[in-house]
Amino acid sequence: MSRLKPLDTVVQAATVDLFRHYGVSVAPVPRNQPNKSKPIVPENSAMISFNSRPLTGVLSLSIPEGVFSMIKHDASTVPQPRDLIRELTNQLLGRVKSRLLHFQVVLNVGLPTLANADIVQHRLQRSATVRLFEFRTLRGDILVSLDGTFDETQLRYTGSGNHGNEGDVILF
Amino acid sequence: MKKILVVDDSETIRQQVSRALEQAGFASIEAGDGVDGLEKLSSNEVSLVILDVNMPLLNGLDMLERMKNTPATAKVPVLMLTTEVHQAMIQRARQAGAKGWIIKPVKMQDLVAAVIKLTS
Repeated sequence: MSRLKPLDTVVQAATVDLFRHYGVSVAPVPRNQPNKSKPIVPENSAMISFNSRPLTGVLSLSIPEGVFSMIKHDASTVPQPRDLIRELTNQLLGRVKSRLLHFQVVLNVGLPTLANADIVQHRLQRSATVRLFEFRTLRGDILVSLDGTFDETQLRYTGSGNHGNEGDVILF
Repeated sequence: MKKILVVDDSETIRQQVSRALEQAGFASIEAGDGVDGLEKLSSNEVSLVILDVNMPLLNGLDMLERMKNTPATAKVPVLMLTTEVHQAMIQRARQAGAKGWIIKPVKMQDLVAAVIKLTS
């Protein structure tokens, strides 16, 4: 099995932690399994751009319909899948950004936008630099992709540093 | 009943926060971006603003700074609710006059506890 690069580890951990927060257990699919060249893109997708000196590109998150029913939410609210996928994509990149601070990388991020599965599929097929991450759930596979320019030689792990973590409530 | 303005471009987050606040005895109004937020703020008596950072039209930090530079809204406490974790951004909000910074995703009981503390 090939060794994961730092960015891969960051994305996998961020995805697992994000869905754990919402009560959904996800299991990363080993990246060297066969048939990785033709992933099936789930129907609900959103994308968000990011840039920094070593890392520039777009992150996409695609979720099958069945996974939405597994996501914990207040019983009195009914999240709309189109809004929820945007927010989950935003939160996923937030977690990636948080972890990259440990490598002294400060990402500037855009706003999440909806994308249909065909657009994501097209991006995945035409890009030579795309990295795919699949996660098994009880209701289908989640797909995360990173497409862009990544110079991981500039990533230097320096520890947790002085910044917040997900769930922190900091009162001034 | 104290009224809380929830400003976030995600309807899911606005709903989730509003319901949690209503269950704790607050009234809530919602806005989808900073421009909408300033408009709602000018036409409502608000006890506290919960404010996202990354939003279209006018982001949360810019809305915060405009609020604090406007005498009518300068004293309304603001609690930032965002995925952003970088100290420079947190310090910018603090210097602009925010009362707190909450990093998404957050447990609603933690958020409500902070709102109660800041409005009591």
